[in-house]
Amino acid sequence: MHSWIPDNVLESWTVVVIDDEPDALEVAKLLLEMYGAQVITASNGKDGLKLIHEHHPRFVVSDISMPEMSGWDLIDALKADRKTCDIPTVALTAHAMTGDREKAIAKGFHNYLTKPLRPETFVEELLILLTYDIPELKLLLQ
Amino acid sequence: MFLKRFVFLSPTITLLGVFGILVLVAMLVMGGTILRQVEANRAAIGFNFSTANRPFSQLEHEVMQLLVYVTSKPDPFDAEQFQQDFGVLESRWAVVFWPSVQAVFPQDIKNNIEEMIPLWESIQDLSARWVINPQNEAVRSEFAETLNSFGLLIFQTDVRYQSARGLILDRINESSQGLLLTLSIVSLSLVGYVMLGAFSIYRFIQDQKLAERKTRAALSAEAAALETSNFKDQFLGVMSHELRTPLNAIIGFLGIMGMSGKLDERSTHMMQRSRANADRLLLLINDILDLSKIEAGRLELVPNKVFLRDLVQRWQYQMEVLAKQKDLLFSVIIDPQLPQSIFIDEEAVTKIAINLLSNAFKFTDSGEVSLNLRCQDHQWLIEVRDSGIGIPTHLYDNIFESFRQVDNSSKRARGGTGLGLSIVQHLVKAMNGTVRVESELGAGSTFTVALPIIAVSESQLQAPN
Repeated sequence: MHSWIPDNVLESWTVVVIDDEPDALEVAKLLLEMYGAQVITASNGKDGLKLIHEHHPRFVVSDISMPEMSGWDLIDALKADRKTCDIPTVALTAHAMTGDREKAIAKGFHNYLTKPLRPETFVEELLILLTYDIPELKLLLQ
Repeated sequence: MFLKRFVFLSPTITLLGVFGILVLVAMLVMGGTILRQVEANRAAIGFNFSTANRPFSQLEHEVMQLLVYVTSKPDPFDAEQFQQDFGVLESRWAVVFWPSVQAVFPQDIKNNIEEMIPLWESIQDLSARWVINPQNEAVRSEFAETLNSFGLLIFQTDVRYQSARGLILDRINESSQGLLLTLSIVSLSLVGYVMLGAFSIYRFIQDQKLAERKTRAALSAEAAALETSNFKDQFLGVMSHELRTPLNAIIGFLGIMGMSGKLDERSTHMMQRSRANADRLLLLINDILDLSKIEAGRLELVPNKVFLRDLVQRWQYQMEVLAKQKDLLFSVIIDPQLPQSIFIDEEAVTKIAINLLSNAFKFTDSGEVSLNLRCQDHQWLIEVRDSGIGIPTHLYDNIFESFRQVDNSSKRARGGTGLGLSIVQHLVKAMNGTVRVESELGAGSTFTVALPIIAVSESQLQAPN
């Protein structure tokens, strides 16, 4: 745990995590919950999109390779809708080859993190990536 | 007689004469070679004249141009037009080309390759005599008869002296399906009728269909190679994804266990050891993927403008953890002569530096590790020095091999994958640099990487990227 990040920094925040790997989903959920977030999970882009519309989360963490609806299609759908285009969506993927990151950001993902995630610093990295889009974090990190 | 006159000619003519004789000798030798090659190829694959692809000399090239010109002109041959079109060529070489012969073999020649050998022998014999006396009517008619007897049609142009004179066999335009033989007997003459030398050129122009087949074969080989490399790319991508996915769960859950603070001492120990090994596995996967990417030739260097100080600071931060862990001194020195920003692939150079530095820390138990960046002979030197265990001289080359450490049993004690230096060497090579090692057993090692400096000028710095 990082002293500069309060344990309750994500308290009362709704976060949607989407991944077709149940273990990956659970790891991310547990880590986010340690900081107080209310985590809602989905195992494909289609279900994820439904949850995002229902709960309007503060941010989304999504895998890219998934059945039903991939991360690429999900980001297209989110960006095409005025109600969801402002929700920062961070890709969390095991695709770590050269060019994957550029592709993800070009497609509209807010940022890109690779698996395996580092559990000790995952939330910290995520929050730093989101600083400029979430006013409360800006205040916190100043 | 010939030599006597030769002596009194001007230096330019002498030069031309020498050239002519040289060409003559070369061409006669070549003629023999071609014949032998015909034989050899006939035995080997039946039908393949590789001379068709032989590069031509400048003179030969111009002669060939001329031949094309002559043979494509309608009969009767227009000497005046010829002079106009090739005036430059003529004055430059001060030569007159005459006569040339082109023969087109019938399409079924492939089945009658045996018949070609005596034809070649006749032509060689005839052309030698022709060169000596090109205007001898008897030689000309004998030549025509010989070619006729091999079923070749003769097309004769009426060309005057000092112009191209040719016997053209059949029409070239209709020959695209067959094998075209170009035989040119060319004499180098001054305008004043002084003969300096002569030579003959044999050239086979391959059957177009055969050439097309070859092109197709080459294209499909290229496609296969492309497919293989695409497959390698895909394979590496899938491997990377499939290996990282389970590691994500292992490292994730182990981390959460550690962070929960609910483990007793024994469990904490086991959890930490599991985590250390999972991290090591991840390192190995990353190294193997890097190395296979490099070895598959899929390494793409993307040089960018990089601020040297920022770059080195990032390396320093990353390494200070190790220095603290092992209680070692860590110093970084940057030569002020080095440019502020350089043009380099940041990821690759970082991999080189981090690999060398981690090695230095890995094999040093007391003393210090230093990173020294210097400028020398337009090169950028990255010098990593340690006061560690050292490397025996006879193993200097071996340490760059994959999965190799000085003492293989040390892998367990010191950690690491044994791939780091191999990656360093490959990356340095790809960046047109060099890496060398100096070491004293028990006293320490120094690795020096030299990379070419591509400095970014002020104007480039200010320009929007």
